[in-house]
Amino acid sequence: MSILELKQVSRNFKGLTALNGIDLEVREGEILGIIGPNGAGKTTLFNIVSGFLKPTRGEILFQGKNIVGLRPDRIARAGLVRSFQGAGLFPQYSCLTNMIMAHHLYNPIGFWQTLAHSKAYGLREKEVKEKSLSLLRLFGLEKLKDMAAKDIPYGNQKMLGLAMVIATGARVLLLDEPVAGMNPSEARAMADQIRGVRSEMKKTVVLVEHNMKMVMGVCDRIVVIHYGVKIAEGEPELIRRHPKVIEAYLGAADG
Amino acid sequence: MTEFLQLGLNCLVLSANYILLALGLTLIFGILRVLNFAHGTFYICGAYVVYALVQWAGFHYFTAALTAMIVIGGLGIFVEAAVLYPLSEKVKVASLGAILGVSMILEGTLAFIFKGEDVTIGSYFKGILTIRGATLSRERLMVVLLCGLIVIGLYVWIRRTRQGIAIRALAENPRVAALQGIHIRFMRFLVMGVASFLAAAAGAIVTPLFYINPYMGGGIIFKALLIVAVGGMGSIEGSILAGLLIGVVETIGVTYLGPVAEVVSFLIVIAVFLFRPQGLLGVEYEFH
Amino acid sequence: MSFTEKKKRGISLIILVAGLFLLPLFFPNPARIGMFISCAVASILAMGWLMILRIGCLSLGQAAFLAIGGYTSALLAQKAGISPWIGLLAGGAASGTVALIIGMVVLRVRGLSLSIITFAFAEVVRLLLSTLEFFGGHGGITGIPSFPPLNFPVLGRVRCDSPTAGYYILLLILLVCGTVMWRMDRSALGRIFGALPQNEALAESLGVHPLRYKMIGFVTACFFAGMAGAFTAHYYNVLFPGNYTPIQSIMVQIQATVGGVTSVALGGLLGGSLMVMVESWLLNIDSRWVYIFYGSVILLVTFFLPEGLLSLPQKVKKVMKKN
Repeated sequence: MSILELKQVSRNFKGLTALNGIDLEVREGEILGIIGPNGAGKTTLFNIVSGFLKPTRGEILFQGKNIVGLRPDRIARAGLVRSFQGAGLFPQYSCLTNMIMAHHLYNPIGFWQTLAHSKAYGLREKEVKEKSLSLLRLFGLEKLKDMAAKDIPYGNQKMLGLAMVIATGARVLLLDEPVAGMNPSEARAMADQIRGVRSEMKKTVVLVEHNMKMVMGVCDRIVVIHYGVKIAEGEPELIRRHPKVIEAYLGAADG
Repeated sequence: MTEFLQLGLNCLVLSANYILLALGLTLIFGILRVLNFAHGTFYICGAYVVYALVQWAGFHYFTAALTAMIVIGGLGIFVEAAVLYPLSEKVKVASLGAILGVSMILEGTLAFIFKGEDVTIGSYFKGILTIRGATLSRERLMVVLLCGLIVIGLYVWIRRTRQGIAIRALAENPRVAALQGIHIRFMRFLVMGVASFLAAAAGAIVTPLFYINPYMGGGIIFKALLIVAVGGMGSIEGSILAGLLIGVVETIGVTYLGPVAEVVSFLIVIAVFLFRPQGLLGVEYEFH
Repeated sequence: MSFTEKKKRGISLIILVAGLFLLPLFFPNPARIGMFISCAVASILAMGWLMILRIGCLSLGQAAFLAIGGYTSALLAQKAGISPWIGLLAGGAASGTVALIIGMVVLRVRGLSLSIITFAFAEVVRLLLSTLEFFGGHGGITGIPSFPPLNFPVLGRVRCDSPTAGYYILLLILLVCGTVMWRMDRSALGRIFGALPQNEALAESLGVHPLRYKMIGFVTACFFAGMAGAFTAHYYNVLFPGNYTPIQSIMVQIQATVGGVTSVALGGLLGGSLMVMVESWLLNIDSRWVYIFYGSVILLVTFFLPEGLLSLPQKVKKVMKKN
């Protein structure tokens, strides 16, 4: 069952073709990895799927409906959420507040209730706070809950970013380089969390990564993009041996 | 033909005035990445220094003008050292507030010293020139000539000399420029000094023509801002081009449309900042 | 926050509000009350400025919204015979609507561009008001009707055009404004507001529609500014376009910054009142001191207390902890 489908998605930037006719299918409950040499168009793809960019051509079907042209917040509300490369947090806010912010989708705020500080508002605040605390505990971040997000260690920041996308309650998570800049043990911990998220919380995960080891170890299927074109698709073992993939990466550093 | 010459001269006088101011603003923005809202006040201060030296100390006009330019240039360097540099690492809000503060203090001080009435030192280059039946005041011609010389001088300096090239490098890419050994603090001083010098020059050149009061700085800065916006933040050529353009538009506009013309200039500013913040020829900048 | 802290907060608030209500009793001098009124107007504007700052915008044009509210109410009263009481709401609504319209276009822009646009917009408003005959031109509008008397059940007929009456009318507006701003600021809504300048893209991907939330803050701030403007129209009975220059907007910024950016409602109240009180005192000595005063204050605050006076207790605590 494909929960997310890309049909002939293309994107031009003033003469430069970033993506050229990408066809992609994401099955529900799988972990799909998207890899490719730098500049291949992977982040552009994410930006397009999550609504930050419009494709020049093509369709994107989420749960059967075309989401091209919808605003990012609308797409998020439909159940597709992304994390961000590098800074994916609210730096001045505490970790707890960051988590609370992530619950906006799960339990949106009513304007008039807020103004009146009604009982419903108070209950909502309490519930969201509790949920946030338990998620922080789940990801091992509860000790840092009152620290500003910009002050916590980098590895924890990435973990918090992951926790936040989970908190939204979305069914499909797009993770943009989840283990970038992490040392091997941190990357392993992250990979475990991602696996757990898929099996225990029944989420579908699509991730973009450069760390080959992590990608091979975590993904059910892998898609390889080179110069904006899909050159290979399949299970990790297949991709590892695929001649076109090896050619594309020749000379490129391994993760 | 007569009307054309007279109108043309008026356009040029206005343009010259604006260009000198805009050049300073754009230089400051390019290097310090701050919009110097006090620039207009420097302009007025320059004019007042000339006035004071001529009226009270009996200086010769040119000496007074030169002194004013140096004094205000120094003032600019002082403001850079005391206010702008210490705040350069902080949020932009801070520099904005501070520069407004400087501007208000200067205006208040001027009001104390000169008591807020409109003053002028009167024409220096008396007399008129008649070309093809058009009555052109010598004063205005000299204004255009002097401004033109200064602008050309500045242009040559920016394009040809080492400091000028360093300034442009710094404007385009501060980090790389620093790596190349360009001394940033010195450049900042230099730019603030030169820009303030120019502002005072504009003020000095213009005092014989118009009446001045301590609160004019605010209105003038706005026009300069308009020109910098349209011409492009950080672009010398842009300022010159836009200055000429705006001078023409405003002179014609005011003659035929009256006060509504001013509204049009503000609308242009809004449009520029909405759709093309870098103006016609400006540097790319994250407007944050 | 623990229960005792909440109680302390509640009691301080009650004392504050009671104090504001009793002010005219302690200082019955009409000139003094006139100053309090100026303080209140400044406070409302400062609160609005701080709210707009929360959503990440530095407005240099609040004076325009004061003007829009004032002129709307004045013209409605003069040309259509609308009661000033309704005028208050109409003024607020007018400013709010204008804020809505320009906000849709302008709030998509960031940082410096946004500030310059607010500055330009304010000037456009001022120029239109001072050149078009419909608005009375340079001379402004005079002879604006005052607030008509009200009939109360016990007190009977009460005149509403005295300084004391004016103070209480404005105080009510101030309290409503303060409460709304407070509620918006210190709440889940304020959390979203504050998130936008930090990482708008992230907020968007979490389901927040940035423009919608920015508009909420912006329109609310301008609504109250408009109401305050309408009040000034019927209290002073005159309106001059010369009162809405850029310097006025800059003064709002300085007042708000001095008060403190940490709390929208309290910062606005503190900054507006304090600065206006000193300003009034200086105006009695020599009006030329006012510029120097404002300029020096903003410089001092920028260097030594960038988050305003409200942040002073925290800073003192930090210093004491070190020793």
